[in-house]
Amino acid sequence: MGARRTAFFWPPRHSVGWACGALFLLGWGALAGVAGSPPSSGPAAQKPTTVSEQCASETCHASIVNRKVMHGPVAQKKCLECHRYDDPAQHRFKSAFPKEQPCGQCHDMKHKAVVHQPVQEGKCTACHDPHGSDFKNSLVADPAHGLCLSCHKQADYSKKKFVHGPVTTGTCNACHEAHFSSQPKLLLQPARDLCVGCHKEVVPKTDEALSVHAPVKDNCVGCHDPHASDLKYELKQAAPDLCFSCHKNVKELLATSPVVHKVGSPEGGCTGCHASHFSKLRKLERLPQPQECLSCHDRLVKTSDGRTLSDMAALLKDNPVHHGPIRLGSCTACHQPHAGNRFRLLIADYPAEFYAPFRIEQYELCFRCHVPDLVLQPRGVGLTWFRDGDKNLHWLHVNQQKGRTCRACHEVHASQRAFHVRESVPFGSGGWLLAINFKQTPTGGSCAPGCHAQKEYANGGRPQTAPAVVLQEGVMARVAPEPPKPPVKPAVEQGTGEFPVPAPPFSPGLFPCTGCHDPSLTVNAERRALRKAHGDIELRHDEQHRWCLDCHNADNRDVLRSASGSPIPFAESYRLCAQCHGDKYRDWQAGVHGKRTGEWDGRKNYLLCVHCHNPHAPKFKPIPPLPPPVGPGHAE
Amino acid sequence: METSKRLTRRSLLKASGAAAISVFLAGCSPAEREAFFRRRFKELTPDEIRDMLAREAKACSERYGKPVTVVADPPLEGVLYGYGLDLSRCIGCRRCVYACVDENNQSREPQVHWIKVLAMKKEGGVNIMGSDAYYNPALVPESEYFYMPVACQQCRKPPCVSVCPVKATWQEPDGIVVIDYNWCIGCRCCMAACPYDARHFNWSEPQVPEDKVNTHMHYLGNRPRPRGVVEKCTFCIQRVRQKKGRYPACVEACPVGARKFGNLLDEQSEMRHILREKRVFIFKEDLATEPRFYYFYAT
Repeated sequence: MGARRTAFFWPPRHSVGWACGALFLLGWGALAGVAGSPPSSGPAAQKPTTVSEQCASETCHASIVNRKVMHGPVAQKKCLECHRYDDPAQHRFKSAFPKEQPCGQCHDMKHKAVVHQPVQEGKCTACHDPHGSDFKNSLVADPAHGLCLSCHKQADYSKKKFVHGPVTTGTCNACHEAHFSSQPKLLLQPARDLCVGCHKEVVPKTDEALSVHAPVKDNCVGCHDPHASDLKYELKQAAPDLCFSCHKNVKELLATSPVVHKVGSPEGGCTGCHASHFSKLRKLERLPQPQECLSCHDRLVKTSDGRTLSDMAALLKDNPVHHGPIRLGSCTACHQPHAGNRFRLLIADYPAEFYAPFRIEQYELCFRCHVPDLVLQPRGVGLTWFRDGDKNLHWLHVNQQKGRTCRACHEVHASQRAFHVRESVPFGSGGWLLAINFKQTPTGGSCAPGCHAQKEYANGGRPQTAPAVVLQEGVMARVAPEPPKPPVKPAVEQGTGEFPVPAPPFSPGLFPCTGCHDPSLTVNAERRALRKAHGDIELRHDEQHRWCLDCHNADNRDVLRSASGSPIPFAESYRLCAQCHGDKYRDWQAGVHGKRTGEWDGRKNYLLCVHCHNPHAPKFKPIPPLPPPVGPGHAE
Repeated sequence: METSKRLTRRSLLKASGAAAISVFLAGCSPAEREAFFRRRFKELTPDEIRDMLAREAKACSERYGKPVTVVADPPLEGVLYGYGLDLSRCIGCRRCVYACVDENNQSREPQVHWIKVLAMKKEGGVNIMGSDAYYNPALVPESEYFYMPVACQQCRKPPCVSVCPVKATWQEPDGIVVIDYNWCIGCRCCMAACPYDARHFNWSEPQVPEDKVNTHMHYLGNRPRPRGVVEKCTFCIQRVRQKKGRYPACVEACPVGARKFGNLLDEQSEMRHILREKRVFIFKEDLATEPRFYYFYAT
């Protein structure tokens, strides 16, 4: 210690005292470090015995003034700004400032909520050299090479496989303040703002995110280690364990279910199907179904118990008639995506055996969408076209001792023939394919299967427009995660022209309404302040007499309703408006009401009423005018 | 005998005039020389018009540093343009004024606006003397005012045409009153004759920023005007004189759909619907100028 002190303060004629100030003592190690080779302690200049302001010379304190970065007073050779003579005869000094705040006289450190410990304790010289150094801000060491690590030893991430860029370059201050901050961990900004400042790609634009992963909004470090990790993207844990740390219900489901989807199991990973940050689809799905599922099921897939699953992509490609949920893009209408109790991950009961006596509850899967009366009513004409006269042939096939399951005759995914009727049924253990030989005729059809001789039926002919099957009310909306957009061809009833209208201007993420308004939500027609949802709507549209369900359809929220109760698609909402505003409607048809663009003698662009008018408050809000013309005496 | 040899005042003037002209012409490019000796627009042959448009396009392209097309589309057969403005809808936001400036390459400095929006007290009705074109509240519309935009009314009996001493302005068969900027002598008689204050004079060289220039130009419409000529609304002649033509810029810009445009000879057009169904008036009817610009109240 004495030698080092001598090396630095060496004034050989006088002995050096201890009282040269706390500042010096604190800064010492660093000073000695940066001062290069200490001046020889051999016979050199004599220590002065009188007050002198010229401290640095070739022989005395030479190392102090030869730094790249110099502290202001040093550069100006005003040593006595900080050092006070205690005893000039002895060449003894003391600090000009209190020990607990040695630099505070000039460097005002207005403390905020979080303060770096050395700042708190007045140990400025732990990081800064009070005279100067070869590094920026007179730091005692290169911040890129270990200044912070000298205390934060746990922050040595050099052994980790994946290190955050700023950590690699030692730019700790890209994220952390050096002195104090209003944020925890001395961060420059709130943590998420800091992350998205660089990682802009994880912030969804409003039009491309229907679902956003909750941690993206406020907790990036919930999944990512901000410094380093052995996992890619500096994840704290590998998926799926990382995901399970929040999504405990999925973990439990996977652990307790007899049938587990491989990609949902621990050896798979959640990110195969789900995006990590945001998605245009619900549930953070990467791709719309069925493409999502076909990204694996586009080949024969071996299950863990040795079965082989069909190449679903080829099946769908070769067979043009697709089952409704597939057409609507929802494999999850029938299959569990993660795990379940039933074979083939089905979401509801369905007999695994080919022949099964009919009990409606065993067929819950099918009758979630299809009306049970299809098979329960022995007679009827409105249920299905598989009838002979009014005799229901579905009922006939199912309600027997040796009843057939639905898939005995119908394909469940895709088929060549109408009504998803199969070509053949695998029968017996020998692999015989029992052909069904179904033929459709204009007034009915016929089958000639191995089960019975050729039989014909007559239903009087099926009109082209009627549905093939009767579905439960609102089922389309329930099946489809992304129901097809309402038709964009509004076709005005009167007038000659066709008016193509752009899609309705829904608030992002709101439509389809049945996404929230599913059957589990009870209908409340009461006039009330909307709190849980739609709180932004302020009804200023004949509010004395109207309330939501006068225009919105309680039975199917994805459409509107006319005064008589008939459904009106959102894409044709002008028909709803026209009921009260007939004069405007006529003008609109003639091209006289509404914003006019397009061609004056050709195709005119029509807009829906709601493109200009807020349907809940249709009166225009005032807008600022553009500047007035320059005029005499009016220039302001 | 001696007098014939002597330098008379007449011969001196003749000689110096000839010398001045030859000096002037020597300093001109061939294009400028041709433009100078050009005949009036309506007398030009198709070939001459083509050459003239090419010269104009080249000059404009060089001036603004980007490719410019200059057309002189003739009037369409069976078309008579009419304009409708719904006074019950206009909110006085002046979006049309600036859309027109951008579309028609009007001078920014000194400022030229073809459309003038007048604010009038509702209680006073259409009262030009009590109108204010310089209103500037924070928000429009103000409840006690209504707004009446005025531009060229494209009169059937245009007084501006009949007063022009050099026939530099005339009415086309489709009803648009146009100006040949190369023929206009800048006497401003037409401005005095116009009862709608719709014509504007270029007191100094018009300034149009290069990045704001509309490069689709019509020779009789929005091509850059020289200093010292008169200009006015042409119903966006560069847009509407095309089959399946676009609407004028002000119609497209109007945020409340107050502006209507169509062919008066087409039974199915918006204008005919308005004339059939709405309460329509023409501005300063008593002056017998018979405008093709109809103000109406849709509600």
